[in-house]
Amino acid sequence: MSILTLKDVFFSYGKTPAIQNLSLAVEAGEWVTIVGPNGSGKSTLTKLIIGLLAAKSGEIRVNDLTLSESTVQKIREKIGIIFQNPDNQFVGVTVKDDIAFGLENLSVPYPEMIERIDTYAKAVGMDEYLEKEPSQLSGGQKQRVAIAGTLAMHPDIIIFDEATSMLDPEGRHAMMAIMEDLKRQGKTILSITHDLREALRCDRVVVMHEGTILKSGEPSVILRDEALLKQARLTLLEPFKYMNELSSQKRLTDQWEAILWESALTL
Amino acid sequence: MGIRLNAVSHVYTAINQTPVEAIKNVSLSIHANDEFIALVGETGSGKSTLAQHFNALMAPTSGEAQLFDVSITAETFKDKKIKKTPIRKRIGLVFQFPEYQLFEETVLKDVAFAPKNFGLKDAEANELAKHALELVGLDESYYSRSPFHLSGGEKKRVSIAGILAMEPDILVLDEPTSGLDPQSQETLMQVFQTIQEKTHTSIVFITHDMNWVESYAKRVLVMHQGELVFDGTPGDLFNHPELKTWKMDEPDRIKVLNEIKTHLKTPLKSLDFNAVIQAIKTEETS
Amino acid sequence: MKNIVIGRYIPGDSFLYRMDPRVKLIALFLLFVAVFVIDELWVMGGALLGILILLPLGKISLKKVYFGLRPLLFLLIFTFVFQILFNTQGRLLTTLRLEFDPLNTAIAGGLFIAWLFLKRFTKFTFLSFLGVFAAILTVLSQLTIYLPFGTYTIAIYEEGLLFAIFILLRLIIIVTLSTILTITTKPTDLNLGLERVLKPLKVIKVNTEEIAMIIGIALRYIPTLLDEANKIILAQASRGVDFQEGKFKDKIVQIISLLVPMFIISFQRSDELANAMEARCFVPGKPRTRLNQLIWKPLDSVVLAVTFLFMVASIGVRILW
Repeated sequence: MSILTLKDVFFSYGKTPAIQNLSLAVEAGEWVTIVGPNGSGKSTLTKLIIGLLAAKSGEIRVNDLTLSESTVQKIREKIGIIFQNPDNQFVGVTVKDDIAFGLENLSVPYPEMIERIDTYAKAVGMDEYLEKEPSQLSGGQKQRVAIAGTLAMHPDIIIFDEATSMLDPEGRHAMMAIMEDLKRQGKTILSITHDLREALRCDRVVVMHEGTILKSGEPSVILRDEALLKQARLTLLEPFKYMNELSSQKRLTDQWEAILWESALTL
Repeated sequence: MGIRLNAVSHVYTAINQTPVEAIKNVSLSIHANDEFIALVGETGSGKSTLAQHFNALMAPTSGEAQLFDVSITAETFKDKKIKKTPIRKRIGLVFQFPEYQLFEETVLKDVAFAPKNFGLKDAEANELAKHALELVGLDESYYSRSPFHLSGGEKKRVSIAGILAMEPDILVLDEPTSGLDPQSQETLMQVFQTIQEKTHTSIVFITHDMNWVESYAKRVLVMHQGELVFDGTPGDLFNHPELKTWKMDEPDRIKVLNEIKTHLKTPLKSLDFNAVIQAIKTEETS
Repeated sequence: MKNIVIGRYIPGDSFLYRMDPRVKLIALFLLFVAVFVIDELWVMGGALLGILILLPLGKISLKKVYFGLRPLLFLLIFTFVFQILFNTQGRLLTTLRLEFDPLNTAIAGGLFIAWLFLKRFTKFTFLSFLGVFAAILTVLSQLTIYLPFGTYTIAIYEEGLLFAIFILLRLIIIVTLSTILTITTKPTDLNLGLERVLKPLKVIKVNTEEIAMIIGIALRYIPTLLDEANKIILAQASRGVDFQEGKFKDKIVQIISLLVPMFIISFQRSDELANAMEARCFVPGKPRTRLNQLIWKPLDSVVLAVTFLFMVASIGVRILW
């Protein structure tokens, strides 16, 4: 059974539909990337999944729990989210306080709390910053703190909701490294982005446009589909331009396909 | 000469904290016409602080900023007789978030705000506003819309028009493309290019994305730990041995070409797309 | 904008810093009670002396306390003068007869205006004010030449003077004690301490945890919002807003141009923050464990006992003396 299932989900802000009859299933341990332009409904999706917004119709299931008013708290315990703006999700006065925030809400006992803070601050490389205040941190560091705070709550699924869009290249690379690490540990990741470079390493790319899924599939297929990406107002990454050109001239060998794919992973 | 900084340093002092030297001994000059400059550097390198020296929002703690015919130093900045607004009219600065400046109920009124501040009559200010909106590619249908109900990319364009309406000689933009999807970013960069072609306004934009630096900028300024470490062309920057020390990324195109080069037996003669395709094909057949 | 310091916490280390915030708050309360119970000038003087001894022991310089007192200086002087002028009990000590005539009134007025103008050039605003005040009194009492149009007699009575001193001491003690609290306690600790101390209010349905959460978030976001406000000012300054110029009508638009973005950004921010908090399983009113544990040390018991005894003693003195 899928760890996260959306079935015919519909949502609208007033009369404008934001999500239209969307269905999606995410398997345990899978890394799914949802790509789409601004206003395609990507971020509305996150809010629907954890019940910050209520779908007008359709069903959302996490494991065997169907999202409803009575299950929303249970479901939130299973899902961790890293939001876009580093400043608007830093609740604590210090790094330590912030990582603790979720644990306090889950009523984790004090000694265990201390242990988890240490473990996950180390996991994201922020263990030397525990006493620092948010004003002393860069955007990338704040996002790492948000990840630690989320991981410490032991969620089943971690959602990255445009978590890198306000970071500099260094911050973005650090976030990507953490996501790969999580994947290796068998965590389920749902990442939402308009940066196709972040979709290279995942298991499945879902292309969203105007509230619906245009197509989903393996990165090596989706990221090369120029017509599809164009329809979703996204642009082909550099290596795939070479790949598609060679392929259109029927001159793309397996070796060069591999080389160009490798080059994509350096982006 | 539009902007000339002579050994400008800026130190932030806050109570109970050690002073931070945000920019150190920066000297540079920017012409009033036809410049297209990318200002880059990692987070905290002093880019934004530097940009705020360009239009006299900040004063150097030491050194001098010569902004057109006005000299701004720590002392002259405090002098109320030296007016800063005429400088800010000639050197327009657009902040990163449009939310910092949008406040009127319609797009047109908001864009006309700056010209009105400089004493223009409503009709004249509206003319300038309409012209500015046209430059950023927003047509009449936007005039009476609320700026708060626009998409991120459109808000950005309105905020840029709000500065362009002053008809500045130099336009400075703090991270104009951040947070936008690729297509909106591209549209915006093209808007800048059109503005430059039509008005010869010098443009300085701050960015983290080297792809835009490579494809649009004629000149790059690199800030690293408060110092201006590079001032030259994008081509020279991406061949610079210290690129990595400055925490600079390479543009996607160059990264991919570097990877391709390592797998080709014969060196590339040209880095042009079709030439590279040809080289790969030749390699395969031989 | 950057110089606004909230809570005036100054990092340091001494027993005053190491005390449990709960104890500090309770001790402060007990001492306030004591100070209001005391009705003998010499006891009040003794209490102030006690505090003056306490300060160096707690490694707090007089200067820092003076900075705490400074904003209230006017209130202190006003109370003092008011008591002296209008309390007419006890033995008459001295009188000062002021006669107003056009010339000396003009001179006095001139002196005051001169002080208003010159005060920005001196660091000793307060001292210079006292000097000018004395000069005005001298002029009004000694220099009467022509056509006096009114007189006023300042009479100082023993009781009035003593009571004025008494009130002054009481106010100084209260402000000094509060200043010591804010200097030595981090806002977050103070907040936590307050939450715990007020916990009994739960009986009357006051949700102290929620109040503490609100204060906590406010403390966290005040620097961010100030920073934001500063950026908005700069962004509008870039559009030609000049706060030193402009007609009244322009001023209003200028202020709106700051307030609207400020409100919109704050609402957006709080909306996103609320989402982030809910996503991390925050449910208002649900019991939570806490990372910040308050640990009661032997020092805390001692301090509490001493302040309690002091309060009891001052009540005792009041009743028995």
